[in-house]
Amino acid sequence: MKKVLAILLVAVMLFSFAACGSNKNETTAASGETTAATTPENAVIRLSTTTSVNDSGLLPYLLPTFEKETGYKVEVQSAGTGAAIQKAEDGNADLILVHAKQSEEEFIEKGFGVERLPFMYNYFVIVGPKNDPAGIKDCKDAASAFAKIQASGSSFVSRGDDSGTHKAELKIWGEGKAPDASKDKWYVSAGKGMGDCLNMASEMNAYCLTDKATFLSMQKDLNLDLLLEKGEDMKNTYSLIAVNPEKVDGVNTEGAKALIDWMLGDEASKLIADYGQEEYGVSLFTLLEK
Amino acid sequence: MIELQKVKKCYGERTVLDIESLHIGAGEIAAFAGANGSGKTTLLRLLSGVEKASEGKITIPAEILYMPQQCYAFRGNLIKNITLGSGDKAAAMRLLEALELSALAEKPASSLSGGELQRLALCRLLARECKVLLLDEPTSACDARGEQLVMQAVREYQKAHSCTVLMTTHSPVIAAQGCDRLVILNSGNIEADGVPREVLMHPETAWAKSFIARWKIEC
Amino acid sequence: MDSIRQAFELLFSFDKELWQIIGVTMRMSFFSTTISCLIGLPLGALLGTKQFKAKSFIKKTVHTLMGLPPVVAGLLVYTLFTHYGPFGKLNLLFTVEVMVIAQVVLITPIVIGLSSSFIEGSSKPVIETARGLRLSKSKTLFLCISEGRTSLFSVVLSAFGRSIAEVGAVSIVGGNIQWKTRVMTTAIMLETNKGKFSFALALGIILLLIAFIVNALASFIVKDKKA
Repeated sequence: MKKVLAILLVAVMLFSFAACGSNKNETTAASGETTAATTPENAVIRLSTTTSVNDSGLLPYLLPTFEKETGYKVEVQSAGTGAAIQKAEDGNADLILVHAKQSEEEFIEKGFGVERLPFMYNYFVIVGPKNDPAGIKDCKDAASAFAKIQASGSSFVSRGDDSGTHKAELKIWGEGKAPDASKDKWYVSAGKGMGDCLNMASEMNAYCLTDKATFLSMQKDLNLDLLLEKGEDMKNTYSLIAVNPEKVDGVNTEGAKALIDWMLGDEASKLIADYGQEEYGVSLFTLLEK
Repeated sequence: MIELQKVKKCYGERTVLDIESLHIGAGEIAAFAGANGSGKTTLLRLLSGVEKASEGKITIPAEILYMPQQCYAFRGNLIKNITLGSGDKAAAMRLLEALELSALAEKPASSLSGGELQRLALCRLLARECKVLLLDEPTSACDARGEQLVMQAVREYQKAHSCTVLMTTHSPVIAAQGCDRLVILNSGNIEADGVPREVLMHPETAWAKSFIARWKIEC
Repeated sequence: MDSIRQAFELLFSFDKELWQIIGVTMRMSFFSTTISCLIGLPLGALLGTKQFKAKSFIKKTVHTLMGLPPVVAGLLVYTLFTHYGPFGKLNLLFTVEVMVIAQVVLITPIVIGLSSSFIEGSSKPVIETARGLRLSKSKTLFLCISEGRTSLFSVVLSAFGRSIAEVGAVSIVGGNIQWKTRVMTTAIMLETNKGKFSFALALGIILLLIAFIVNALASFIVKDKKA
């Protein structure tokens, strides 16, 4: 009896998920009609991106302009890099915006992505306790700062979630040299998003590798200082990749192309270069030379 | 012994019991009869202290044993249901024998029929001491043999402890043969009160007359 | 299908980290269930058997708290134990202890609410019968608990189920720290974020297996007692 109930329950849940999905389509179709004059045929673009991109506020800043000009509607899904890419492979996205070179190349090798288009970068920064117990302030790059943190035994919060930031961190430690969280108690593998990790680092008086945008947006609530930036090994490049319609069904190719063209165009470039100036007095992203 | 003065019980607007005065002497076995909703059960609940009267004064000794209309079977076998973990097992067994339940002594109480459960509940009461025994319809689920056993056990207990017994009943046979006194209730008021044979043969009011006439036909 | 195979492979590979996570999960669920039952069952019994003035207000409050979103419970405990919070000095944030505290906040109202309605429903005839036999108050309470133990037991199991399946509160106060505060649910969340959906599902199957084993063991013990 219990088994039957359980199966029924699962069936009901699956059904309701399906129902949710179809509802969504209906509502987007309806909202599409209101801007009928300029609306392209397939008006919804599904952009899968990482939490750090979304948390930085860049997309909410850029996309309204794009949507107004073209009539497209961009649905942004944010998750860790791994999940962001997996969603695209599962046919749930039209393009991705991520920052993990190796994963991106694998994505293309497997045939899911059309072409990797790196278009902007920023620097990861190391933040930490205001008194800087490991003394990393004057290090020339992240690798030497990490070595000092390790030597001093100060706490360090790692994303630990296979995200682009986590992968960048592992690369800085060097192949096979990353601390082992099961033995090194100072190395905290949090398995959480950027914002959560910064909060934890603040609570634990720990160091943390983060993207600058997320840190700046949260700085006033954190008990952390920006200690090191712009080391050569801290460069963080963002790419756009359209999903390959030959490999994945139901991709909005025109929409993806329209968004990529716009993002790489002059108007977006200017907007990106300005982003952060008003609020923090610095640009958060720099465009790559074309 | 037991004294009721201007006792009233109301549930919201409805008055279910309204007794001007009632006295029951020590050692009496009194039966209460009446139609459904006449206030029999309410009277016993007030006397037992399970419920409080809305008005009036009730005088009754503290040493009461009360058997609710709905008998309850605790977990465990019949003996455990009587001793409740601390009583005399041999005494419990004697009571079960007297009520012809000894064959079931080791069986779980939840397996009993309605009539058996009623007898078990009585055993549970009679294993303890008291000055007043309140029984709410102790034979409602019993067959003729069961009725006989119950009344016999009650009378023996009454003799041994010289206590007062108050019970409600639907059976004129029990009222006439087993009790010293019969009180008939009608919508919460006392309609007739006296020696059972007298009340049954010579009802005073017209209502009592028709009630008893119907009662006799029913049985 | 792939996930089921993966789940069993994972279980029988005796992966050290997996068993450590299962250990933390069990420890947390056991203590939070025990503590919330120690607090909640007597209060539930009191609420179910006694009549008093503020009863309906208290009942409404308890029923509201039964629906307390885990995230809110987590945030509440977080603000209490954060570095500059009232209990910041205890240095408990991101430990298993504080996860237990958050779960106790979450589960105790459920224990009180469920046990009080079970007891209210089942104890009336017990109380009347006990009163008719002039049993002492403590004996009456004992009988109420012993008579209602099957349903009280299901309250304990619901508390445990909630505890083992909860993710929002423990993620906030525990931090999902590897080798320390990571439990099955936060591990599942992490693998989902990594995009390893089938591995996450495998972990989910293991979690269900654990819950099933605990339930089976528990009902086996209770049946034993009955006989």
